Amino acid sequence: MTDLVSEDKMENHFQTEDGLILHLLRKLSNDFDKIFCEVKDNMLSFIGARNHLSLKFNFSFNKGLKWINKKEYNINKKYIFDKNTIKNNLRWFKTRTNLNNTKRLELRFKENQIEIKSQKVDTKLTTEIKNPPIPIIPKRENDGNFFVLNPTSVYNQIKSIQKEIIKIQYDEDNGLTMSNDKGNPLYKIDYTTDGEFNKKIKTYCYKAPLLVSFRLTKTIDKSVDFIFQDNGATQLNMKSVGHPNIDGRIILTSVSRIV
Amino acid sequence: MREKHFETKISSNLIRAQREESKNNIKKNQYLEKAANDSVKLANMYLQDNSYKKCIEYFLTAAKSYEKSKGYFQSKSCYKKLVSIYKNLYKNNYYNYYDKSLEGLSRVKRVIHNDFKERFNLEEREERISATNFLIWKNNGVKTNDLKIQYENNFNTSINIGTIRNYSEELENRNAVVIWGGPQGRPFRIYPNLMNLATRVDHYNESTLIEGTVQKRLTKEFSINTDRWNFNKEIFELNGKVVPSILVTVDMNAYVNNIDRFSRGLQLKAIGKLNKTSQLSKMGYDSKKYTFDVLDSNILIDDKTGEKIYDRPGFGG
Repeated sequence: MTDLVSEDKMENHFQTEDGLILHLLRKLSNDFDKIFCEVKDNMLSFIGARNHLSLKFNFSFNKGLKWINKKEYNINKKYIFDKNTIKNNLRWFKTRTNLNNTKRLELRFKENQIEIKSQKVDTKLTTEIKNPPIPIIPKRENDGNFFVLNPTSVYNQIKSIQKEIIKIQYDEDNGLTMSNDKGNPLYKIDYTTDGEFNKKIKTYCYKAPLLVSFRLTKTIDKSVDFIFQDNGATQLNMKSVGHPNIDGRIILTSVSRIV
Repeated sequence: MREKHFETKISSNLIRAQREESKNNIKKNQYLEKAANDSVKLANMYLQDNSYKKCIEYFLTAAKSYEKSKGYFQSKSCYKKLVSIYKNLYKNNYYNYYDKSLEGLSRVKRVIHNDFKERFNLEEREERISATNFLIWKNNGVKTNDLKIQYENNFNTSINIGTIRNYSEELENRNAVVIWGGPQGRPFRIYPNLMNLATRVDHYNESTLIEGTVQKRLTKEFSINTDRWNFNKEIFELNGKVVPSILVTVDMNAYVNNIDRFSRGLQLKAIGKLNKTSQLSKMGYDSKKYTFDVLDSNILIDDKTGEKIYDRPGFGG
């Protein structure tokens, strides 16, 4: 008995006052059938991958989250959760009101599951397989970097485009614009940039993953960096304004048949 | 040691085939096919060791054995491989075999394109099976109904669907073809078995079916070039012992939703376009290390249950 207690105390787990981590995980389950989770050193990451979209959201332990016990020096655990498991077991984290009422939230990282405990919640997420091989999330170089000023408006614009393929373009006359693959209707995106672009650059991506990306910006308090290159993959870097410990990277493939 | 084992098997099967020459055509062909299949494996082993003389000898044995058992397409691949080996050698070593290879290649090509109708004596069952095999390879995969029409048009004789299925199943047992579909009420598609071919160049850029066991995840061995990246894929090696090795690319949706299967070493059938590994770089996956054949799969089937586990949708996702 004594051994068991001491074993339990030595588990890797951390504590936070903020349930946004699990709220975001629940949001991701709307768009991904399975979500990978990785706990490595000082970072908890959720990873989602589809045919034309990959994303990774990171929660840094250095800012806001703190380890209660860290059993291993180089912790490295991987899980994969089914969307239904997430939806059913994280019901409490569905609403913002509940998030605000979440106190002393503890996440315990066990071999096959993550235990989630707080004053009002006692649940767990069980991995489908042990140590799943995690998909690679590629990264674009910082070229063509645009800081989008109003992501909600961009989300609405994407929704209104009635085509499968969306063209994103930058030129000196119109600035950063978005349209269907034929070029109409043309929506101007409000942006700032720290670089200078003299040339015209454009790329095409699928509407569905782009919509997913911008829907997620609403969840984590908007701040989007748009990175794209001529006819290449499009990357969105996100930072949460209210939660400096959260950042995300979404990358969308280009559309091959047009390129 | 392994080479010795194969050499013994090949020579005993060739002797058995010789004994059955005028007695039993079915057994003769089966022994020849076994000898040919093993010869391809052995020749590839020698090729990896740069033992060119032995490699050429066994490719030639395979080519002739296939030709004799009327597996003209398999024979053509062996002759083609021989010609390509000579081109890469840049020297006149073993030149007498080069003439034989060129001669064999043109002979087999002639049969495939012109004379095939006269090559099969359809009164014998074994010859009808060979003719069925020929049409499956000629079409690079075909449904039973289409095969029936082709058979009747080419050989001016009728054949029923049940017979085609029987012949195809026998050919599958002899590793000549791969079947997807059936048994009752579902379409029955028959494809050539490309796993043990000397070279698959004739099948590049064509839609085909391959079967095998997922051996190794190789995605991490490739770097992703985001300027060209147009599809999120996972890359696996099939059947580690097959030479030349074959990779299969799996769409991310297929991988994520069947991750337990892929982690267990899935036995799969995959339908898609076959190509060189270099074609992967068009999708944004670069590697200097791998120069295998690669199948970009559109449809995945769990071979154990026959269940279709993935069918690529048109857009988005």
